[in-house]
Amino acid sequence: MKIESRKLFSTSAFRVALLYLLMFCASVSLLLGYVYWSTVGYMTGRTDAAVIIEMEAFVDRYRRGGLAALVQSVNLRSRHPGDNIYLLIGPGGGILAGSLNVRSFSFDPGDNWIEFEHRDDEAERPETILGRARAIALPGGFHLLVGRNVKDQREIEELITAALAWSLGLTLLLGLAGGVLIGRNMLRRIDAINRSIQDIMGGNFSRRLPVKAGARDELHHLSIHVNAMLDRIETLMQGMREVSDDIAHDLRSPLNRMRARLEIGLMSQGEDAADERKRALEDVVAEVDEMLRLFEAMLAIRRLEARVDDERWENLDLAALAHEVGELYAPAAEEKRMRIAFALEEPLMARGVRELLARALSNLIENAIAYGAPEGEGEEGRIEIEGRREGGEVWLGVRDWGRGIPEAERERVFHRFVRLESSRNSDGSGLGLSLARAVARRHGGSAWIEDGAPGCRAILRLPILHLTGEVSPAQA
Amino acid sequence: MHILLVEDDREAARYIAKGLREGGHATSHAGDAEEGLEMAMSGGFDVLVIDRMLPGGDGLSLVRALREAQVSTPVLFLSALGEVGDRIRGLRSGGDDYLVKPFAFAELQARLEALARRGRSEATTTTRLAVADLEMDLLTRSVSRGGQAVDLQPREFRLLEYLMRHAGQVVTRTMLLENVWEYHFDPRTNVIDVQISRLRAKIDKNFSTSLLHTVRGAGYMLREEGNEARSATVAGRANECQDED
Repeated sequence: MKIESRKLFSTSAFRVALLYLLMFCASVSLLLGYVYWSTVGYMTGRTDAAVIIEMEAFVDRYRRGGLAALVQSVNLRSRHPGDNIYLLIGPGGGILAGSLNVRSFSFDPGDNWIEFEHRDDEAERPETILGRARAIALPGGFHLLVGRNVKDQREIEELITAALAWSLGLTLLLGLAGGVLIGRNMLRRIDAINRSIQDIMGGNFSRRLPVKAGARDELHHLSIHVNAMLDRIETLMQGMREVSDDIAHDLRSPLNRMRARLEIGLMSQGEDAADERKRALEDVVAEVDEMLRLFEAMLAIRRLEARVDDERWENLDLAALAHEVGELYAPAAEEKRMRIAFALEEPLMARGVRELLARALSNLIENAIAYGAPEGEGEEGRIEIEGRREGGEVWLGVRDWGRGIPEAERERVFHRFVRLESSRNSDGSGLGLSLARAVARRHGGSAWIEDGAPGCRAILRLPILHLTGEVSPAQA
Repeated sequence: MHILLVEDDREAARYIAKGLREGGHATSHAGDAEEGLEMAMSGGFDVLVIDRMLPGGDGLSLVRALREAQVSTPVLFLSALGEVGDRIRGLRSGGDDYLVKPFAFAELQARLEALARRGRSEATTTTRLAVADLEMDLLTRSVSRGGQAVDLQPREFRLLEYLMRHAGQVVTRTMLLENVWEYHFDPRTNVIDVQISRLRAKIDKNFSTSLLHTVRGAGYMLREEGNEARSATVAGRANECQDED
């Protein structure tokens, strides 16, 4: 993959690396500066100090013995000079005594320190001398020059300087390379993320950000979180799309019926026209009420799914609640030649919202009454409300002995507006099970349907949540 | 009765006021919270109907202010917010009943009559209720008709108690579900109708006059035969009364 350099320099990773590099270089320079100063500076300082001390000794000699004593002293020392340089220079520039094989020596007397190069070609081993010396003027135009050959010292200095320059250069180079590497790596991952996002924005909502298995860094966590968010958004969007499709589909038929009813009312003439119109209006009001009920159920499901926390959580005995709801429906069941029986462990304490749980349970019972088998033809016409504790959960079930639901459809019936072909003609919105499931989920549980063989069993599984705590299960 | 309607939605206000006037009630209208408070404070109303969302202040604050000023006129809240939490907030702020929009007009009318009656007769601690020869003893929790004991299950007892306390008034299915069962959802099945017919079988079946009547398009009424004209509206309704079966 090719990455434009301009883009690379503008990555924050590269910039951070660069900043870090600059700071690192500054501190390395400081450190090296100190090393330079403490080696080269130290050596030069020592040489200069030695020269000054020697010079003072000569001056002392001159004061006591005059020029002759000085010449003698210089000559004595010049016999084995080593790295030392001595020159006694006459008023015309001629050499009176000294360690260098020269006839004359000229210099600028204004300089504090004189640096010069000298090569003695007549010596046994000719070599270039690098002199650093100090000169003082003596009465009568004479000058005394004392110094050192600093050639070796200069070589060491150069070596140190070179070493320092190299290390600084290498630091810079390595740092820069590291920055580029980190920046590129970051850039590559961010590019991948950006491409995914563009793809998602383009309509591919199932696409997710790439998550590298090995990396456990911030980018990795960020991607995982963004993906979780996308999952949630996709679910909500899908729900919304389904709902709007379903609304369009399911509301068309009642609207058509109403339209027809109103038209009939309008068309009616003659003596009983007024009555006919009144009946039409009443029918339409009934249809509208039915639609409003549908909307109410849809809104209730939506609020449950969005977890709008505006409910009254309390500690409930679900067995008592199941009894209560069962008894409310008992006469209605009897009208359909069915009998509601209870198989409840008591008590079944759990934390929940009474109104919601009662509504979920009533939906399951209404289904059982609508699709269960009535008494007669070998059927005993029973609906059983069961409840028991399972570990940390309460299971509430409504069992009927009717035709049951084919296995392939048992999950689908929980979707909004889904009604099985066999129940098309019966009264119902197709929202009852969706609502029951939404209620169970709101309580941190679930809802499903099992084969009753014969019939089926609709189950609400509810965790026994925070019986004493103040925390609402919404966070569970 | 004299009703104050505090509702900012013109169309809704027109509909409610028209219905109430046709039901024979004097109805005044206020369009915002400030005006509503002023009118309610001046007194003379049997019941207040207050929308929860009002310009110039929440309906809840309006009622709170009224209660602080010792105005105890019964209040019915109208609201598009139908959650349990909303309902509780409404009742806590001093409201007496809570009706979620949209509603059937008969529902509103029945509830207003129940409220106005409660406002008039205050809470007297009775131990016995009686409608014609139907008697209920709240202490022994026993019921008899014409001296004959009637055996009722606990929930049937509460159902009958509610009907007897509202004798001569229309009681809707929703009112029964809310007050007897304490549920605020609307079951699809006609559970209340079946519960009522079971109760009717127990109290009316072997007697020549029936007490528990169905009011078409509205609900039920427990009423002594020949004692129909308790109020103008009830009389109007009574013409529509017809017995089931």
